[in-house]
Amino acid sequence: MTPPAVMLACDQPATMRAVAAAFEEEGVPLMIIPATGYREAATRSQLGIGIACIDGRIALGLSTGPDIPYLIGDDARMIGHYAARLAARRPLGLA
Amino acid sequence: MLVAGVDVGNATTEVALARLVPGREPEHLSVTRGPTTGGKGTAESAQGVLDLIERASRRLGEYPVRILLADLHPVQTDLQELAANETQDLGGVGIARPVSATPSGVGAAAGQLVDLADLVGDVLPHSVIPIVPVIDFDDAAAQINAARERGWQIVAIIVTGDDGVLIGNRVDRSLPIVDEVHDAATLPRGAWAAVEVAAQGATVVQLADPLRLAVLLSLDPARARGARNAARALVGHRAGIAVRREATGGGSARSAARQATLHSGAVVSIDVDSPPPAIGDVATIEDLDLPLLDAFWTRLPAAEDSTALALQLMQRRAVGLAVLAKRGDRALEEALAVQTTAEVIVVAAETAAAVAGASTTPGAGHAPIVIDIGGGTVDLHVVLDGETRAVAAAGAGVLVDHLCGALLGIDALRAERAKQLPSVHVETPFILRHEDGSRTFLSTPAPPQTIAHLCVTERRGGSLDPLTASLAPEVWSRLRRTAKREVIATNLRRAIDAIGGLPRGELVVLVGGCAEDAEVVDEVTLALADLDLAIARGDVLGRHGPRAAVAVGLVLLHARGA
Repeated sequence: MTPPAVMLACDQPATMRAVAAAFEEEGVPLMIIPATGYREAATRSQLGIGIACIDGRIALGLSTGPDIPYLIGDDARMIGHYAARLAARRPLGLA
Repeated sequence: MLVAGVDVGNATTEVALARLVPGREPEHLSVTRGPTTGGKGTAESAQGVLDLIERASRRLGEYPVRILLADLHPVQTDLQELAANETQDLGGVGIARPVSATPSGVGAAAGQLVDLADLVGDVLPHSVIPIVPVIDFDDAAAQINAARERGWQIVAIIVTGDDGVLIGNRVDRSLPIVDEVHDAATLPRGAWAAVEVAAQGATVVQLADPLRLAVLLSLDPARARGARNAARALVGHRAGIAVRREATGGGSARSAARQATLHSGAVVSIDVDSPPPAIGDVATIEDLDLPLLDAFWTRLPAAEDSTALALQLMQRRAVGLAVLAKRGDRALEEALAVQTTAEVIVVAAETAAAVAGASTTPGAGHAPIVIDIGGGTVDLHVVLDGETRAVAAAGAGVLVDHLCGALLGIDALRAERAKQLPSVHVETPFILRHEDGSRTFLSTPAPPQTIAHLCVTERRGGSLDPLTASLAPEVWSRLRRTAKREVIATNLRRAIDAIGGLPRGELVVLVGGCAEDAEVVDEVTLALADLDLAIARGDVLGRHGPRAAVAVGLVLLHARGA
């Protein structure tokens, strides 16, 4: 039985490593899956959080609510950090 | 004749426009409200008055011929954190501070601080704590593992970046590692240091105990007592660092509180552990050259829910002080007279005007007891058996703002909102937890910066103002209510004592800005429960709630006297 996890839909090794590092640091489970985007990834996540690469950027999406990225940026480690903290219900550290 | 009743408060100015016709009841036309500009009663406060009159007059197409004022006495309110000026000797401990949101490992250890780069050199014969700069976590872990294999006794690690767990997973999951130590470069290399990480949900034990801290840092028994200030700084935190320095001591230079001299000649300290005197007892206050009518002080509310928070609040030694002074000039009246064609008249004392305004509350009749809770003072006005007694106690809404601001670490404007509005904890983008534990489910996600934060929330718009204070909404709610009780209810008790008590079973009408706050009304009701009073919120003219009692009252008193 696998614990609930955030889903990452991405095949770029550098992005995958950076996002995975953020999740490992926060102690939050992450699964890498083939998906078409953050919305699909989020929908397949029991935590309702998905991450995907779009147009060279990293997008964090939610399974419900408007179909737009909840957060988007260029720093995969940072977006991973936000996603992991969101899953862990810790402050994201945004001003 | 169009007149403007004007109440210049310590926080808010209110203007009531009315038309007076001899032999008839005043025709009340409007009430407008805005922030007081400058200090209450100063020449600067005239601008706020004139802006409000201008705004109201424009709607009517007519300017008042008389501006009616109350006899004003301003209040100065301030909050001082006495500990901010104190020097606490850490008694042989140079640095003692909490760190890390996500540390790794569990336990406490002590060793000499070394740079990560030093680990390639000769092995030291004692335990060390390497400091990892901002480098890739795999590289850092590889260097530490190699050093351990060469015989370095690495007992803990301090990491500059947010890589503590990543390094711990690649080195030793049990090793205490603290991270996000952004100023790690400034830690004194070569010094003896201790690091502790508590298990999840727990707080440091060894570093928070002065004797154990002293043992970890190899302080001699004579200096162990001095480590108490350092240990106290780490109480309640999950992880911490302490670094030894070569010094003796451990005492505290307690910063001196201001002194108040009473009319009796006694001198008391304005400090957290000295209760405020009775109304009118203070003759002078150090460094304050004002003719005093009253002075009141209070400390930050005690946090009963958390020992760590209670200790943190106590250590700040914060004292809120409100001083009611007799005005020595007529600056406001003179400024208004110069800047307007209207005749400026001082009609009555504020308390008398408040009674007149409060009496327009439907069903109140002539209110025998009126409590006006404004920004600066709690005013009590009692008319019984033809005898009038009135008293003003320094310290009300603005002092509560100061306490709330200090508790939450925010400015006065945000603190005023935090005082008035409910708070929530944003659990997820779609779930808000309220102060009573109930939850709201959102259809659109809360902003990312609010996640897992205590937020002040607008009742209607639902906008969220995230606060940095790490308090649960129920804890903040209790602190907020306590602040209101300790200022407003305490001051009301002082006022009642000053006039010799209140008769049981009478009607009490609450007016003033603070009376809009249901929590204040609750606290007043609780404070007066033993007197079995009928406590009602004013509704001035049946449409303005508890606001504008003084402004409307000035119009009524002037009409009766005209």
